[in-house]
Amino acid sequence: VTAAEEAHRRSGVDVIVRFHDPSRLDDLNRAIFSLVGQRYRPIRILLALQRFDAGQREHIRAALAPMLSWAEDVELVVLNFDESWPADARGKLLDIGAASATGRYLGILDYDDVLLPHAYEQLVGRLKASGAAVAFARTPVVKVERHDRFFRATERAQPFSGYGLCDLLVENFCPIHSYLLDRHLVDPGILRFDPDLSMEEDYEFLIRLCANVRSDFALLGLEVGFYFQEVGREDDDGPEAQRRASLARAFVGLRRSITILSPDVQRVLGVEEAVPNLTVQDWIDGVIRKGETERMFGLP
Amino acid sequence: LSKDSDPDNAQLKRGLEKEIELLRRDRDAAQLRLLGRRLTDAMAWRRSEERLDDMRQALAAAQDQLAGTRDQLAEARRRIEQMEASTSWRITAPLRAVMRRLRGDAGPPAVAVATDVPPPPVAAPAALPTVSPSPRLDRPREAPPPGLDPAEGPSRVAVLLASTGGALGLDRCVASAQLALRRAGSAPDVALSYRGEPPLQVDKAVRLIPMEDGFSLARMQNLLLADGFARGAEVCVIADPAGLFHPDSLCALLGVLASHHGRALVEALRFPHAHPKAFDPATLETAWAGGHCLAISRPFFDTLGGFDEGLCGSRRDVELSQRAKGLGWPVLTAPHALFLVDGNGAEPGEPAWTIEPPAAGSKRDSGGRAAGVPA
Repeated sequence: VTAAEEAHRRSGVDVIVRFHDPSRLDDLNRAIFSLVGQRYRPIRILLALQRFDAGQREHIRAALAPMLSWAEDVELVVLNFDESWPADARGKLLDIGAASATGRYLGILDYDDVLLPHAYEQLVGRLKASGAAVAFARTPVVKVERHDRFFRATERAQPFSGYGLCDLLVENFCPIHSYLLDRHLVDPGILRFDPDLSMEEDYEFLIRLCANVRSDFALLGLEVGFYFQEVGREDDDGPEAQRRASLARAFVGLRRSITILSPDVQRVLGVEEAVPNLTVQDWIDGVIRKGETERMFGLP
Repeated sequence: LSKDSDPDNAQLKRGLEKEIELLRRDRDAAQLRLLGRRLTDAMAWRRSEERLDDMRQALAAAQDQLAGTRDQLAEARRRIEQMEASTSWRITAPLRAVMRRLRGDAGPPAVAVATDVPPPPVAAPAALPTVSPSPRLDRPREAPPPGLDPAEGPSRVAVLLASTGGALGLDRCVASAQLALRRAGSAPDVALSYRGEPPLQVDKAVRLIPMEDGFSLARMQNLLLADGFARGAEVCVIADPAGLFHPDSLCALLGVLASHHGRALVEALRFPHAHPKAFDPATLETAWAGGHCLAISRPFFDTLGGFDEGLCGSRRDVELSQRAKGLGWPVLTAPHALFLVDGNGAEPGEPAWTIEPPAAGSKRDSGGRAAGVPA
């Protein structure tokens, strides 16, 4: 183990970047530039590719090489998923990225989004200060027009509404690059992603993670990146996409029903005496029942 | 147990109820596990069904293709037989034999295939992604601006950094500037002005220019510009020493400047936190050019001079832009020239997504302009 590897294990950030469409190399280039521009070091970029051949991998390496040439303590590791199934390997790409992580901290950045230079510095600082296993911050949506060779930002908004763990367990409001986790505090069994899921794969992971370990939302007021949404490029709403969305929702619903809240997390959620086998869905149902009762009796 | 008043019975009842509750929970958990297994099985079944469908479709396509190929083969054989049976084929047989010997062929091919038979269709490969050249990285570089052709001299573009102290990552900024200059076809000419102690850990090739403590940022930048042009630069790029140049940023920035023959004021795109002011995506015109990374050509400096030293913050940039516009010189954003700005990039009180420039001319303390700036 070299000194650099040891330093990475002790305090490095691994960041998984998923990439599946070679025609969007410009977007990837922009995302990697935002990682190279991080104040925090060391950083290892785990670039997880979906079925790229050797020539394509070399092309990507060559395109990214210039900006990595002067970026000290930033390493690029190219991972490639070659199997034919699943066709949409979003979950699998996260899984192979997570399995390759060796640094203490782990983050995710999709190839078409960006992080602000202070992102990992602030998130690592918050993880250290709070002792939590995962720290969340804010990544507003920036609507962009795509032009020849460039984007133009037109609008910024914060459509995701949520204030903490309670909201997160009910609905996902945390984009995939808005958080960083401390691998030393997370059971390796949790740190996996379902390869069958091509939607909600990150939320399914967050439910399992946040039901088990302590999460911190103190930085929700701080912007650490942007979630780019291209104007005129609406999400696929065809029958196949609807079927996948419906399946993913069912899967997430079931995940809530079978994921047990740890006593530590129950305390955070306000359960005074830890209840054995209390699932996320049990807790949500309880909160809803409590709310209904309070409304019935006119309680505040 | 019917006598609830009996304390022993009541305790026993409570114990049993607790046990029943635990059993219920166990049962619920088992049911949930069963449900989970069923969902997993259902997904696996669905997956296998889908794969089977895919395979059936692939088989049907292959069979269609095979049938087509057989038809083509039969047609080709028919035409060969017709050709071999023709009189002209028999008459030209000795000539073909001579030609084969002259070419050194070992012998006649077993079957001569007519060249007008189209090749059998090749099955479409599986939907694997293909690499298309990156529109940014692999495109031919923009034509260098007049006076910037690398053949004319190695040091015609200079990057100027004015450090007022406290800039983090100065060495990274310098390294990124040197690389961007090289990729733009220029020598890595970087100058850095500073106040107080000289900055440590800066590349030895950087030209360090000490400044007096009382100098404002605008004053330092103007002196840097004057120095850069005096040393022969045709374009000076003045930038925030806490930022980072994308490797292709200067190439893009100079390309936009060249398209206006150097008679424009061009800013790089602030990244990742783009400035809320807009730019026209067709003409690239913008309300004013920000000083985070600004390309100033020699004709511009000779005509308009540098920054107004009586102004500070973005007012200084707005005032310079207004002077340029006053002479009919366009003020432009090079949107594909990314310049990464540390922090959140926003100045205090910066409005969100508006196109109105802040008022220039206010907060002028001396009313004076920079040296060389026409009144």
